[in-house]
Amino acid sequence: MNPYLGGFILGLLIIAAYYFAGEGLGSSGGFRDMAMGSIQAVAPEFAAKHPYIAPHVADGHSATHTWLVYELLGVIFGAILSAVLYGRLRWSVGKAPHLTKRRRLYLALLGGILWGVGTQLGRGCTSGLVLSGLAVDSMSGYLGLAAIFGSGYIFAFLLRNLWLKPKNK
Amino acid sequence: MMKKTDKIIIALLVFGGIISLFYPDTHPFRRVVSQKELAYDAALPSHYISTDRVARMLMEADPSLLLVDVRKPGEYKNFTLPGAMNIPVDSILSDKHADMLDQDVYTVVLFSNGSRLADQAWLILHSYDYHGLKVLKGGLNAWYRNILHPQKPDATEITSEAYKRYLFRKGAMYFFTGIRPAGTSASPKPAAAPKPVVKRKKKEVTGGCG
Amino acid sequence: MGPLYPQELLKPEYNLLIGFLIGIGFGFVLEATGFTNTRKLAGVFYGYDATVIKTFFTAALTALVGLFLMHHWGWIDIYKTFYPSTFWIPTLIGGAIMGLGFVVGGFCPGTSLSAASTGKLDGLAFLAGVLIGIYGFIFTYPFWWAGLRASGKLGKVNFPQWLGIRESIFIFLFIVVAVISFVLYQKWQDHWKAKMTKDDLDELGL
Repeated sequence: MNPYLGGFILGLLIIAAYYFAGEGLGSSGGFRDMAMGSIQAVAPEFAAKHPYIAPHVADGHSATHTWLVYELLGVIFGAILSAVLYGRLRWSVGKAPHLTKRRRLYLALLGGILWGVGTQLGRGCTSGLVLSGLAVDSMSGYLGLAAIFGSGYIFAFLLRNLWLKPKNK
Repeated sequence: MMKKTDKIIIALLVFGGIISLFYPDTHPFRRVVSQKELAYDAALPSHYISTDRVARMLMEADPSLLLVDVRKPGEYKNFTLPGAMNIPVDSILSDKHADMLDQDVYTVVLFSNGSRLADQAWLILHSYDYHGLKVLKGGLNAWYRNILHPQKPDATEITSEAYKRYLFRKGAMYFFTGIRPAGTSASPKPAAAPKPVVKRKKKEVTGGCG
Repeated sequence: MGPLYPQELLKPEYNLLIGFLIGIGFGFVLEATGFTNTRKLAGVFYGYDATVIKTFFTAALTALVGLFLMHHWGWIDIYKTFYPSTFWIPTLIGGAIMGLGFVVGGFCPGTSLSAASTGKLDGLAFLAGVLIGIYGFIFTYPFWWAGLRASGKLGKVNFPQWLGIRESIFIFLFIVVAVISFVLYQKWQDHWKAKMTKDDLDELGL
């Protein structure tokens, strides 16, 4: 798909999300809801007393019964639909050619853990914090953009061997 | 080498941006002013306005002046400045008054008997980032002293400055009280104190919650 | 007038259904534009692929301009939405952690879910990491994060208002900057393209 067209459609989806649900598109929030929901299911009393979970499960609310979780379910279907249409649905590992698969998977796991912590601290990820924040000119979106991409460019330079083939000496 | 779709979408964005230029800001939120900022601003004398200045604005029927009496309604009924409205300090933050107090069209002057209550109101409002509010220096006490009962400067300290001010105050006293000060020969008719026109902004529709 | 759900103009179940439908669109666009390809995402930082930058900022600006105009036309009241509050300290620190995670892991949470759904094992590993990270955060929250997460509170801040710039001028400048960076990124990508092998070009879909 044309990148600008994709962006345009994505922008309309953000508008729709704000128009109907009153909130932006997000991802990490949905994962947080699922994690909290699983804790709530296993140990409801612990969840009800935990300072971070409690607001999400107050009054017997289910932490997983949220807009963001349903939106994420949709993401799964949408992605599969597109992959089928473009003939890209198959098992594979995306990586720079010079990396081993095992190394790439460990790095992906590690990167994921960093995101798990970072999103909870920073109140959202690239979609929930930055994209949806920018859409309403919220300062949080601009700060998130600067922090994520600012640190991204610094680390990208330091860790360039992860993505670019090291030059032969 | 841009494709047609690229051009259309970029043109759409730029067009949208140009249309946006014709619209004002979307401004309802107030940031929370930090305590440091608040302490700094409160220490500046620039948010005080003198009785002379207010008297002059009233005499000139300056339409931008909005006097706000922050004392209790009973005190307000007893005596207040011409055209002043009453918003007791307890309800100063209520949404009803937000449109009027938080704008940059009027010079809003808060006053009480002394400066203390008005200072309090100013501090509360300023911490919610209301801009351009003034406090009447010395309050109604100063008004009484300076405008309603101006004292002739002592002969020893008469400077042209002090004397001019005295003359102005005598004129103001005549304007506000109708009592002709001794020694004035002119006979202007006592005019009713003008009421500043307070145009309320249209209240926006506020959903279903009251 | 929007937003519908916060004003109780939309039943909760329909709201969730619409969320699901919007999610389908979100996932579709992410996959279709290549956000599930970790190398394309990393191209943001090295310049060999301009797709992500174009899509991302076109999306942000479309939504920004759209919501700004809709707000003024009375179609939606932005300030009745769950407008994000700004906590500058945790956002900067969390953002820096996410930036490192981006370079190390090659995804962000939304793209990793799309990638995992379409059979990308690296996306799946990333996703597992995100959940581990969130569980870790939750369990260590009371003694490690609670104070930091609540620090630097600024409330709901409109950025141009904070800068003291007229909002529409800010939006217009943002568009200009974005278009310029699209062009520059395209140049950067063209510069790389000359050096890339056919396999690389195929994999990136350039």
